Amino acid sequence: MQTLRRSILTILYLASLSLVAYLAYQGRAYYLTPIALRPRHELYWTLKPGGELGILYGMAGTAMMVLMLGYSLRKRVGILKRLGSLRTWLDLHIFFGVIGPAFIVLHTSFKAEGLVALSFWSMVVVAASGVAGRYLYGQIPRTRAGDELSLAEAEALDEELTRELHQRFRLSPQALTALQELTARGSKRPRSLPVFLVRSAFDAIAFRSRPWRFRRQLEGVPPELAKSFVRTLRQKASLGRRIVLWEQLHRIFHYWHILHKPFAIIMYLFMLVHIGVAWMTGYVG
Amino acid sequence: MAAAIAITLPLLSPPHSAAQLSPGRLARAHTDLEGTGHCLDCHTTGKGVDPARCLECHSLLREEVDAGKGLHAGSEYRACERCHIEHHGEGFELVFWGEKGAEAFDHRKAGFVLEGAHARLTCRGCHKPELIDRADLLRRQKKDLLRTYMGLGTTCLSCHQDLHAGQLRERGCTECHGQESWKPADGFDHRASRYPLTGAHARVACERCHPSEPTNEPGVTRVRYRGIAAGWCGDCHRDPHAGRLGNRCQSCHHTASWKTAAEQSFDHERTRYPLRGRHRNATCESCHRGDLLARISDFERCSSCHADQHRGQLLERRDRGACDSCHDLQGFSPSRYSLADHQQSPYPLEGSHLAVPCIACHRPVEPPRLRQLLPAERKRAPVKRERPVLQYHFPSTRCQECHADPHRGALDRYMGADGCAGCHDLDSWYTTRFDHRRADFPLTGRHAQVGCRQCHPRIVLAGRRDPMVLSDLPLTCVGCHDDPHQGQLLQQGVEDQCTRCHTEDNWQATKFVHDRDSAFKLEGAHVRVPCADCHTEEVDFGRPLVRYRPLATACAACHQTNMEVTRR
Repeated sequence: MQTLRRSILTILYLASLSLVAYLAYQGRAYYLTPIALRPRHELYWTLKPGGELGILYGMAGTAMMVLMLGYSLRKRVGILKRLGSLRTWLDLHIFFGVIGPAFIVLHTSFKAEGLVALSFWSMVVVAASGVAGRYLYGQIPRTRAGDELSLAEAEALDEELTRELHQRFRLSPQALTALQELTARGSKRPRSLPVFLVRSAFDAIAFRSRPWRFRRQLEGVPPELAKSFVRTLRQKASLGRRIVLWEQLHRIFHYWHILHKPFAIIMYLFMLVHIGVAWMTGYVG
Repeated sequence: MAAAIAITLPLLSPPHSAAQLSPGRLARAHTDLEGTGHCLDCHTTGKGVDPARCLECHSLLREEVDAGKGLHAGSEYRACERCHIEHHGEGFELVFWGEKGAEAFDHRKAGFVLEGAHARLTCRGCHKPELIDRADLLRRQKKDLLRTYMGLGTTCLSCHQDLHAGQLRERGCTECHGQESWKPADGFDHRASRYPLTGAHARVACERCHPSEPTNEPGVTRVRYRGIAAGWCGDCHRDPHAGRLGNRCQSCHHTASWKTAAEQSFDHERTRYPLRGRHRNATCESCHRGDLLARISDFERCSSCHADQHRGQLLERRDRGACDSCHDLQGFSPSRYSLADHQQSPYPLEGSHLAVPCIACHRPVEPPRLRQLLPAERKRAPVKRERPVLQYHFPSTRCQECHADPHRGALDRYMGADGCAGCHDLDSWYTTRFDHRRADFPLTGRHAQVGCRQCHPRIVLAGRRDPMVLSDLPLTCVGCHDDPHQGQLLQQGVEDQCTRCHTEDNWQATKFVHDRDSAFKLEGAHVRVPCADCHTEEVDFGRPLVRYRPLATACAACHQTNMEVTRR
């Protein structure tokens, strides 16, 4: 199921990003033209924000930005809790949060001036924070449904993973100790939050290769079993790091909401103003 | 949330939103429309930029669009914002001429095709304040006259001065002038005017007929094109006929040249010399040589055109040799000089002269001879290849002027004042009336009965046969008569010895007295002797001869003894 979800997401991302890339490529001559000279470009009336395609980009992007709000509603409105898992809604939220701004960027033709620029840059902040937030989100242990685990649940899960490594993969106590050390390296209390975030990101990338050091000891082990071992290893390492940084993570995530939500509000607010002005001046409707 | 509101609200306040709601500042020309309060001055909900809103301010442009004039009247230029793109800053040019600029603008779109010299002008060569019509109105519309392209007319006079000062107002400038240059006016065809130029008129410089004249403006002149008198040729040309032939010059002349008369229509009768006789058939050039319309002085005189074939021989006549005295216009030959006219001449024809053809007396004479006859001719320079001229002038009326003297002057001393007429008359040469008593040999006796030719024979001398020898004839008897005595009786020192014995009455020796004139007197019986008995016939050199001398006077010479026969 998870594989299917990932596959679907992958296809959606690939298709959407490909589409955006294609559209950007088709309009590259216009987009690369200095702004002062764009009105004289042959694609001006097509790709300008109010142009034939530009307005469509805006509508698409706006639609996606609006659909993103479904995630917030899903979290808060009881009726919607029966409409798919929160994770799925988050995935869609993230998807729209990636593709929507891309279309908005095409709509702006890489130019943002005036009041709508606030909406645009707010969108950029929201999208960027969304990326960070997605990372932070992943740092917080959750159930498969995406529900957040409590610290106790996370520690219990860590215990279970340790047991699996020991029982299923027959890791020796020394190996387990090394594993603990391995996971602990990325879990030292940071001096500051920004340092933590940066180091955590690097560690997350670097850690992906470390478990493969144990693979040498898994020679002769069937590939599927080896993969399962590595996956479990990573999971435990990740969980362990998260448990160690549980408080910091939650505090960071809390701060992230301060950044992500207000700018989202600003974004939507000025977006509405922008749309209203556009309607009033006859560019839409 | 509060932070978001705190950030948002100030930005939505009018002063800021005015600048921020607009996607960009308006161009300098629309600065007055900046601000959210003016969005709907141009924009219309549901329509975007409404051209009607634009034209509410651009009223002059609206007038042109409504009239179908100018660039914006075209359907492709109705959407203002498509060309005039706003919200790109104050310095953004609302008028975009294209990559090549305003000079490359296709002026045909503006409804005025630039041709000729117009095409080579810069835009501001025409679109300049001084040529803008209704400039005040544009200024009130806040148009920058140095930048606008509005306000120009499309007629020539909207930019150019009418140098014709309204003379040709009813015609458009383009009827005559092209757009390459005012001059020359290639489109002008004089043939289409009220006075087509034909013949020599076409070669006359324009200013000869169209002079420059001053106008009311000081220092400004104009060329006159209207009001030029051209009713008849005399309006421009002097009438050499002084009005005698009316004012329809074209009846004789045409415009190719005054000197080329319209032969088909030229009526010579209207001139002072109507053509009569052979003159009718003569070509114009034969009289009007080299210059058909050149006036011929003394045209009444034939010699004005015709050479005097008589070379002035007849100038001494009372009529000074007037040709029409003898000739008429039907031709010089034959002349009508009649016999009756000749009888009035200094030499009336009489006798045989009446039967003589003219050419017998009036023979061709060579020019050198003519010059000798006529002193005036001597002054005339010899003409090459002069031909002989019939002689009409004779230095005198003497017979010798025509007739050769057969007497070779031998009888000149007998002519006297009458000349040949002293002996001859005009009926015949052969009828003479010469008084022989005037001659050295008066005709007496039988001589008076002798025909002239018996004494005056025809002879042939040097191959020439004279009719009669009248001079240098011998005056003695023996000059005509043979001496039958064959010289027997000649005596020295005695002329005309025949007359001693003979007379002109007959040859009988009536005057001979034997006893006186001979050496033998006849006495006695001798008296009774016939002459022939003593004077016998002989033959001397084949010729019979009566012997008279010498005769012996002795008796014995004649008388014989009884035994001799008396000789006769």
